[in-house]
Amino acid sequence: MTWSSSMIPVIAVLLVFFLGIFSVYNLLVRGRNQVKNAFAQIDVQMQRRFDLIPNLVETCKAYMQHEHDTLTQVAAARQQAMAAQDVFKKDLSNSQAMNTLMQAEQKLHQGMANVMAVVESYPDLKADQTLQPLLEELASTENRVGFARQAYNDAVMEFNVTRESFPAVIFAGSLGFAAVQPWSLENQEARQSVHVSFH
Amino acid sequence: MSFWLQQARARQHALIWILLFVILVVLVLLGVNLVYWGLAPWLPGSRINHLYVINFTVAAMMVLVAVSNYLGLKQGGHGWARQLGARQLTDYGLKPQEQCLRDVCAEMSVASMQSLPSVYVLDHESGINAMVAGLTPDDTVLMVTAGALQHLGRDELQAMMGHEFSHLADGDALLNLRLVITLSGLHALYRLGQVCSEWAVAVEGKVFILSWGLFGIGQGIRILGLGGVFLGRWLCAGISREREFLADATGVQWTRHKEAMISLLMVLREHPEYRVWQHGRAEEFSHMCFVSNENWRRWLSSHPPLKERVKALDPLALVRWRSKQRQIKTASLVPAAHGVNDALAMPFVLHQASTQVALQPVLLLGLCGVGATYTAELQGVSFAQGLALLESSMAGITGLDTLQQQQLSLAMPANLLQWVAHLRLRARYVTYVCSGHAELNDFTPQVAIVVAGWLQLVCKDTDPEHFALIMRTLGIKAGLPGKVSWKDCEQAALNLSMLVHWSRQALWDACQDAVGLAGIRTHEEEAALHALAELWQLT
Repeated sequence: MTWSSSMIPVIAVLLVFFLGIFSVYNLLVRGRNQVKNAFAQIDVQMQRRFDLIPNLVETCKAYMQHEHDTLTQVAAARQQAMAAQDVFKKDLSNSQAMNTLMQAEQKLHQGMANVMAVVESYPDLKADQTLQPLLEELASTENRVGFARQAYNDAVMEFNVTRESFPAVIFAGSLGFAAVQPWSLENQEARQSVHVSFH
Repeated sequence: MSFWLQQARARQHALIWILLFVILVVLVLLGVNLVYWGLAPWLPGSRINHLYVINFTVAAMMVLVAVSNYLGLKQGGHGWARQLGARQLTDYGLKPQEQCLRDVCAEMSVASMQSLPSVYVLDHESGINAMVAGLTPDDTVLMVTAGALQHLGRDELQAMMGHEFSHLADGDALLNLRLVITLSGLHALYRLGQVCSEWAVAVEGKVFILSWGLFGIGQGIRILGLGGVFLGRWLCAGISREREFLADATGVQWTRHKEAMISLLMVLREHPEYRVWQHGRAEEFSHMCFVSNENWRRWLSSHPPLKERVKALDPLALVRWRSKQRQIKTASLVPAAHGVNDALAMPFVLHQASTQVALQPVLLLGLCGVGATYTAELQGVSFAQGLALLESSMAGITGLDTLQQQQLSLAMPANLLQWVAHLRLRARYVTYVCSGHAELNDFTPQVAIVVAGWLQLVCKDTDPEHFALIMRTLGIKAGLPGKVSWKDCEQAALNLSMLVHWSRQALWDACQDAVGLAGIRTHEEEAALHALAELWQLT
């Protein structure tokens, strides 16, 4: 047997080995980008909500003379949430940034709930023609934010499963594929969505 | 079984079917060669190697037929929609249900991380169905029947859209197209065999076989083609059925609401009339729909039976559904009311209701509310007109005793309008709330309506007169005196809770959740809750 012919099986095994590594690597890259994309979707939907809030505040302002504090709080909470989101966007595996974002989200959520409570006590405002479609829009957007987070969590789960499976588990860490944290709410109150009443 | 597992299983099964299909095609082609090899010595003038010729011809023919079919089938989703007379939803001037459909689709596109297809409504279809068509993202359309918009609640509509979006995500339209094209190729093989056989035969008054070799090869190819087409159709149907299971499971993954999917499937199972298409070309696209109305034997049908689909989602769902129906006779009435296409049928439904719920006027009352709402919706009139229509049609109901007549008339006052108008929205919340309580498995739409009405009162309407009137109506069963105070109302509510077999704790929880769900509590709501808590000695 010549040297070259004895090398053929060795080369074949190496080839299969590297092809396997490449495909797993590509799988990880795809997973990570899917996670990023899923997060971008949350971002898009939250942005949608951020855009709707000023409209709501403006519409309410005309009717609520004595509730400026409530409205200012919402506006401030919105700013905070937007800033926290910007930080988290840069590094999805940063769990501290995620916690900050979730806290800001919660504040915004509470602020919105307060506004809704106030809206309830202004019959004129409740009957306002511009408010009704706005509230409908907010309700659907709230759903979309929820669905976007769910899609993000599903993508995160898929990525983490790939990452922790053999053989990816051997080299995923050293190649910079960090585990991603799913979106979860620690505080019970934040689990409730902003209720939008159509009555 | 979780939907993740179910998805994995459906994917695995579909893959096996697809592999079988590929093997079938390979076997048919091998068979053609075998036939030729066996019969070649009997071919006339066999100097040239016919094997290449025949393989080339078969391959070229299959490709040609496939390409021509592809070009024919490739007509885009919009083309399909136009052919079926669908109307595209625009951004403006939408009816509330259409708005809801558009929002639900947008939500599902977020949940499934896909772009939003063009949404069409099939105005002439009164059944409950939906389908997706088109191969490229730009060209993908989603069509929903008007009947689905009319009869389904938001949750069921969302379940249905989840299913359709899953077909989009898994590229089922493309898979289907490939299978159909391959099938048409096999069919072409059958035709080739026929042509070969015809060449080998001359007819001059009598039939002469000119070349037994060619005739044999022709017949062989013909039989192979025919067998291939039949087996191929069987395998295609198998693949399609597994993809339906997959779409159900993925729909549940995206909506995370298995109950809505099950209730949608159960309604379709119990009402075959909702599965019927009006359009004449229904047969051509039945494999693309949410539910098909095929009467074929199972091995050729593109959709699994609805029973199997429900079972795959939850093996116990059917048992639960049946026991629910046994426990409360009226369970079939609300679906019946859903199915009523015009106000004329309403007296019939109400009559059925009155005989079946003779001892439950409260439920009858709730049903009247539903009847009025639906009458109004179906007739396209205002709610007040719907109620008047219902009132006049109820005059024709016979077999009611005096007490029931009184109760019916009590149900009709104009003050009730507002209450009933809120019922459907509220009922959704209550259903949602109660689905979380294990002991509330016996929950029925009727109970939801009654409790919803009650919750509505506690949570929103604090006008004492209005409240008292309705509670007096509800309180008849509870045996309350004519003059009703707040305390009495609460007692009525308590009795009501017993009437519908809820524990105090369960009702209290539901009540608190329904108020808490809003994330806000007005002072009145707080006060009402507090009063109830004291009354029920829960705090």
